[in-house]
Amino acid sequence: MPCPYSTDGGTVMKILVCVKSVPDRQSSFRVNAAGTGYEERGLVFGVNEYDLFAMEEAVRIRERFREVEIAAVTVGPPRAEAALRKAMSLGATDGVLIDDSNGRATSALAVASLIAAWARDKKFDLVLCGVLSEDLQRGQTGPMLAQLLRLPCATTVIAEQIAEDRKSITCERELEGGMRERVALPLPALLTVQSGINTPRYASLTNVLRVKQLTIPSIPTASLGEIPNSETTLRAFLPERSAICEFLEGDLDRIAEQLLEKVRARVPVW
Amino acid sequence: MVSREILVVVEHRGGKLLPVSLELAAFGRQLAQVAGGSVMGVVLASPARPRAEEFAQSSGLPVLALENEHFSAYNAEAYLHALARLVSERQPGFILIAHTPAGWDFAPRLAVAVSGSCSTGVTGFEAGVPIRFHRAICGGKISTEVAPILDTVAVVTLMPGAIKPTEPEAAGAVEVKSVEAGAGGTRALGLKEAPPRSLDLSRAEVIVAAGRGMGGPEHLGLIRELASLFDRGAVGASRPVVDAGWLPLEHQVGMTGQTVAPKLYLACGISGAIQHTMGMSRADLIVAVNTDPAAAIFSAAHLGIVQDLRQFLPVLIAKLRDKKEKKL
Repeated sequence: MPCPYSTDGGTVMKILVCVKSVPDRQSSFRVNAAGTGYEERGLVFGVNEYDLFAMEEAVRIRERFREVEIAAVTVGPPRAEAALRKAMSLGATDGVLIDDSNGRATSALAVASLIAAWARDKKFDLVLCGVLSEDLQRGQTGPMLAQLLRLPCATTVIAEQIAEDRKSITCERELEGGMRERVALPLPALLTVQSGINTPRYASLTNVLRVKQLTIPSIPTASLGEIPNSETTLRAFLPERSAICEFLEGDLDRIAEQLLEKVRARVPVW
Repeated sequence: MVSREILVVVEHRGGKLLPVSLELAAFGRQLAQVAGGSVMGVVLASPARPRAEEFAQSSGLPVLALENEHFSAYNAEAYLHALARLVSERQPGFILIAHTPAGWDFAPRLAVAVSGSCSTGVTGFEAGVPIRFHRAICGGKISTEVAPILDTVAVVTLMPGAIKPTEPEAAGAVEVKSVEAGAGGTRALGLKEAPPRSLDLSRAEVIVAAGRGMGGPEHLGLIRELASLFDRGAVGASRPVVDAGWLPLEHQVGMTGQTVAPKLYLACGISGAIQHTMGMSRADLIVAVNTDPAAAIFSAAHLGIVQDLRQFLPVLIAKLRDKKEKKL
């Protein structure tokens, strides 16, 4: 397949990191009024953890190759700007909000199409995404974006190395049971990054304060063409408590006593 | 509405079918009962016949085996090329793929390539028009029903372990076809085995497993101490604990770690993401301790305790030690 999307041959390597603003995973979630997702009000949002591994990997590539520019992009309501500021405090040079205030980009295809429409003429050499989002856990946006941009792609990447000539990238993908699969892709390419690929650093206070002052450019979704959704959520509900789970109650002493009695009765392991 | 074919993409590695392939076959059959249409397995391999016959025998489904030199190992580009062409030739209604590191690599791209819908990590479905697929979000704290909204093919990935495989009646017919499949510049460089483990969790009778809810590596002493009170006790861990470097990989339980079936599994501060629970759901007795009463782990557990582990574990350890000394 010919690749219409190629680097500009310049000496600067351009990396795009896609980030998502997601609620703290420890939150107590409620179903929204429409019954089609989780209620966002009252939740504390931060950056999707997997995207932080992607961001750190971009910074490490810059440390190795020096002439590297890192841009961060997100699709979401204005609150998602905070995710971009976080990415910028960690080392992204630019941040762009694709403003989906009216929440029309509900499927991964829509999100990927918006990013693709914006990124198409930017000549990124490498696009990095988190392997999935902590909230919707679809794992679709990255590979769909790759396909829309006609980029080769590797998902669940747990190690990567760009060749000295910057023309290819070798990745290790994580498989089941700790096994890995090695794959080489020509650049430009897209990777989705698995947690554990690196240890993300913390942003320095200076950087946090610096990016607070910056104005983040925002692009309305309307300027990026149609929003093609391909999947819809018809119903969201709290899962029923498992009928098999018996909760032990009382003070600590009482709970420990009951637990040991029940364990001993069912599986004699001491 | 005309019933359209349901294609099942068979997953294999290193010359072996993965168990999820038979779960896909069962899923395809269940889907065909409500959506109509016939179910066919698709094997991409080189050589293709041995895997195809093995699947036709163990699933009872007819199999179309696609053969190309690029299929000797998983190659995303070559898979996409061949599958996109197959979809345009056969116009199936559904294409079912395993939600595994290979499946989720090509499924979303295939959906884009054939202008289809895509639903990933589903665990079952609800009959009706449209058919709704079950999938969990927010770490299992919310359940959803999703539906494809395009009238083209629906690409669906099935969570391993979600569906029970069914016993086949008779072997299905096998057709082997040599196909074109360009790999572009993508090159498979081979598999790398997991590093040798000094810890084989599958031999443990009791696994005390630590999750992020333990709060920090400084509290893991409680986990080790409790595990040491059992003759064949071992320390397990959830993925975030390993990613954070609190414990080495050999302790990890779940999809990307070890699959275990001890007599007793004690999940301490583990949220219960399906990637973890699929690695331990066959334990005889599962006990979960977590401060969050809504944690998904309680849906997988037999006994649940909503408590702070740092307070509860010392009490439990003292009591167990006492019982052992008094031989109670």
